Amino acid sequence: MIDVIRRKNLTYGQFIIFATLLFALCFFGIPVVWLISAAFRSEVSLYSAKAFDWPDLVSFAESWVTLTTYNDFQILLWAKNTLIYCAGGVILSLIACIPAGYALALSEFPGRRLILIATLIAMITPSTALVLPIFLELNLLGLTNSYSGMVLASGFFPFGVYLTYIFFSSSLPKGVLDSAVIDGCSRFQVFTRIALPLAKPIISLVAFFSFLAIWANYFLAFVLLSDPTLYNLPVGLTDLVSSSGALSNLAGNDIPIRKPEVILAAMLIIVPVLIVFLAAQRFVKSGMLAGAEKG
Amino acid sequence: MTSLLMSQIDRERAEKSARLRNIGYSYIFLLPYLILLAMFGIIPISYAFGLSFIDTIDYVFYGVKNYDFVFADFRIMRSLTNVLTFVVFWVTLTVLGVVTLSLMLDNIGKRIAGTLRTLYFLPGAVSSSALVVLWIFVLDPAVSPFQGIMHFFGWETLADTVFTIGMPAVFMLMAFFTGAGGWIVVFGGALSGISTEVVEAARVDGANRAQLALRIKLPLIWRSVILMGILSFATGMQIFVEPQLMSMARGPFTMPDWSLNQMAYQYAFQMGDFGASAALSTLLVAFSISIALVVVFKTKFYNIS
Amino acid sequence: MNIKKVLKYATLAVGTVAGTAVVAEEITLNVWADSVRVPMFEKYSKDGVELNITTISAPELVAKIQLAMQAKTEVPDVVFFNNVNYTAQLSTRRSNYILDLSDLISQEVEDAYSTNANSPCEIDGKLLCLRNDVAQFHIWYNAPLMDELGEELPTTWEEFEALGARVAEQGMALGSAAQDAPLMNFLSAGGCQFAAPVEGQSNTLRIDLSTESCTRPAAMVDRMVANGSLTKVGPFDPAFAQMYRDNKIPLLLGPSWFAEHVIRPSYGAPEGQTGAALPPRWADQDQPITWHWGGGTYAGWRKTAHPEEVADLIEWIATDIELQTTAVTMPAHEASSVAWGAAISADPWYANDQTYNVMLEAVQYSDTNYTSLRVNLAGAFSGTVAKAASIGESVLAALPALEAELTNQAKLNGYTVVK
Repeated sequence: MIDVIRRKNLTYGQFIIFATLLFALCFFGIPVVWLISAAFRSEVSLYSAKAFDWPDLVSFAESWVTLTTYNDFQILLWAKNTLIYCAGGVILSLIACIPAGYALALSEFPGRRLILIATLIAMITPSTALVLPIFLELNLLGLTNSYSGMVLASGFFPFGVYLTYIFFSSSLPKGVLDSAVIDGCSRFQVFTRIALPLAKPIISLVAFFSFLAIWANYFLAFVLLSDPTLYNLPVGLTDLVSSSGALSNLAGNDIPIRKPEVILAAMLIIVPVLIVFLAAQRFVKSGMLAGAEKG
Repeated sequence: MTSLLMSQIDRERAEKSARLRNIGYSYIFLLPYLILLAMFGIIPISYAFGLSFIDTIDYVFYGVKNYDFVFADFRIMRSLTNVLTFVVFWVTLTVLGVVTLSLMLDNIGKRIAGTLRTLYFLPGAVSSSALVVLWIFVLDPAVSPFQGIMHFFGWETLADTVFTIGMPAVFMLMAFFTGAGGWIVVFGGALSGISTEVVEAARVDGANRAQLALRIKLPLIWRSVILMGILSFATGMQIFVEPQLMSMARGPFTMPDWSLNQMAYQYAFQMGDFGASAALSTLLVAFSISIALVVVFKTKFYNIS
Repeated sequence: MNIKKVLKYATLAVGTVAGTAVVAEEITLNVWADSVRVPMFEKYSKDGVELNITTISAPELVAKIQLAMQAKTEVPDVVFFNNVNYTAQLSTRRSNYILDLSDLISQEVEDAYSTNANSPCEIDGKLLCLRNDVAQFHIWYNAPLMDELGEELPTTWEEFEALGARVAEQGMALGSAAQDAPLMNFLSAGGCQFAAPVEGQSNTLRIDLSTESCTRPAAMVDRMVANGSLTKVGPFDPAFAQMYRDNKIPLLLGPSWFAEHVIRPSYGAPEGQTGAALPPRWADQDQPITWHWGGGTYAGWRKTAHPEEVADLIEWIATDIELQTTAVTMPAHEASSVAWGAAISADPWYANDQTYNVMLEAVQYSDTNYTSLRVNLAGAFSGTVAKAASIGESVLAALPALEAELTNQAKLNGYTVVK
């Protein structure tokens, strides 16, 4: 970047811009880089003077072995649960969102406006506000502490409906469908043969966003699940930390989870999302734009 | 004549049944979503609302006693203050930070700007418990990558850092770290949508870089900035995970009643009073829905027609 | 109770006569415990009783019990509480979990406890739990270092402070001021009534931090923080551990578990270094008063289908001498404690063979106000005085804030507060 600045003959204004952007880069970038590098260090090395140190594969391997052998590889179980919640939730949200967004965009029927408004309200209301009411309800239905309760609750994704609605209203002219109907296709055939193939990008987009929301969901899982064998990774990580006291420098127990193991566990949660982020950059950008800007 | 009339009636009938079929199909398409909307939107809110008027220990009608209990709790004002302070800090930082960075990114080479946006966006992958774990390290001068700065201020322990800058600021940093990048990406898109003619015309008129940014570009994205502010405000009021998980560092960092949502959680899960919990939850949901209603009806951010 | 027992045996007898069907029927008790106590439960063996043991991490225990009672699914019949307050918190109208053990466990069992050791389980004259371990504060000292300094062990707080002033000149400290429980201990030792149940009125607490019994120790802490003889970092902070390893901590006030679980594993103290001494008293007091830092309890569920078996399990795990001899912390049950202490007395890691005797003597000075309360003392101390000490502010000046916090909490939780 320095080169770029020099080549363009640095002015005062440009300097401020680059300095600010560089400062922001440090703020956003350094913690992430530090976390990744810290996973390759031992507890002693973490407290040595330097904040960054060369990666040490032996320490990494040691933390890895401790983490994976602790409690019969419980973290693998949590990872598996997270995948179940994600897969179930994403599939359910697609089944719910895509046809719903399609119907809202392309047909007129009584109640349409009301449903749209309800969707927007549900979308704008932070999901945390509803966690306790949802718990109270699922508790009544006996669906707490179960895969099905978590998957059902994760499948509710109004943002996905709105994205699909925007997609179909702006990219599928009503005329196409009318002519298809005249050509003798049934409504379902129009949906499956014409709309769905066109909707591939929005399907991936909704899947992507609902995956992110479910993967990192802490509050809902924390409240709905009390059985450790059902935890997802975010709740499992805190369980690991609070039962071992690894972040409080508290000794007084024999749990082998220390800071390097906690960092490694945090990495297990972050890295898959980082990879998805990098792989799906374009999606994210277009989707965020649609969510925030359309209308 | 008769046949003509018949066909007219037939056509009307056919149209009517087509319309009805149309409605039927629409609702079939909507059915899975409507079930979920009812299960995880309408019913829980109504249920919590109903529960908030009931004594959930003996299951008798309780009037507004649950609400009285909540308002009489000395911690409520404190957590309300905590949350409001945090929200003011965070919304201010988000609006200023995101707008500044977005306008600046619009001023440099496209390739670099794109790379920087991606890099700013990556911390979005660090969320919920991993976010708090990371920041407990980042704020601890003994291990932090920013320990140079902390030692400069004379901070030696996590408590020094956290209590000097204060909890609202701590949570502000966490939330900005993970959330700002997404908005910067959004504004990057919005700014690139501004027609080059407008910008060029202003430039010909002699506007400098700063004037261009503040007088031409900013007004064009102002609506989105307001939306970002409102959404951040609504989200910020519900803060739960960050203060709750600070307890991972134990000792003075354990604050089970820092935020309003934590209080609602406390009522249900520590005190065992689901009625009081429902009362506070109802208040929080009502607040969020009011904001949502304002956004939907009083602004034109979202397309509902 | 006896009728129930008779009935039970009668059923068994009928079963035996009628065939094997009834006898073969096993009772399953759900047990929730932390990872340390699970292996203890696993050693329980009794014909006809099977334990379904779940490991629950301590911070989540209460929430999970509330959830289970709400959801009416698999409520634990027996639990281990790592916090003595849970007994009071879970025996209210709102969350009524606790089984009254008064008629299920005999007076002899209660009498077999060390002095005051079971007081957190006695509320309103009812026995609501059995204490597992005691965690009284007393002095832990570095014997070679004290010899080297040529200092005597302090027996009064005045001597303690004076010793602190002398060693502080060499960069040494006598423990930490920035942690909730040690601060409670300093105040309690002065006779401070920061949450004292009023005799005979179970729902009345005396909270008064303006008396000299509170201000005197608080002022001492302030002076000691100011001259460096109490640290601003907590005892679990790596910086504190480093001081310990560097021989900068001649002594500190620590709970009974501190040697085995912190000084030995975390501070890495070598053999022959660590000794125990009685907690100091103020010169004008007859005897020391000492606070506790923890000490778990066992309790049962009031709606359990098998109260007899629950009581039997609780009595066994809390007082079985053979089992408690191998416990990781000092048993509250006196005979178990003595058996447990033999290993401490014989352990060459300690500076001398008197360590356990001192620990046992210290228990009898336990503050009678260390009971089970619906007040989060740790939270209140952490948020006010411990926080103040950690950033170098005055503990004395933070006492009114602490009093306000404790008073508010007590009132919120249904106590009448008197001064």
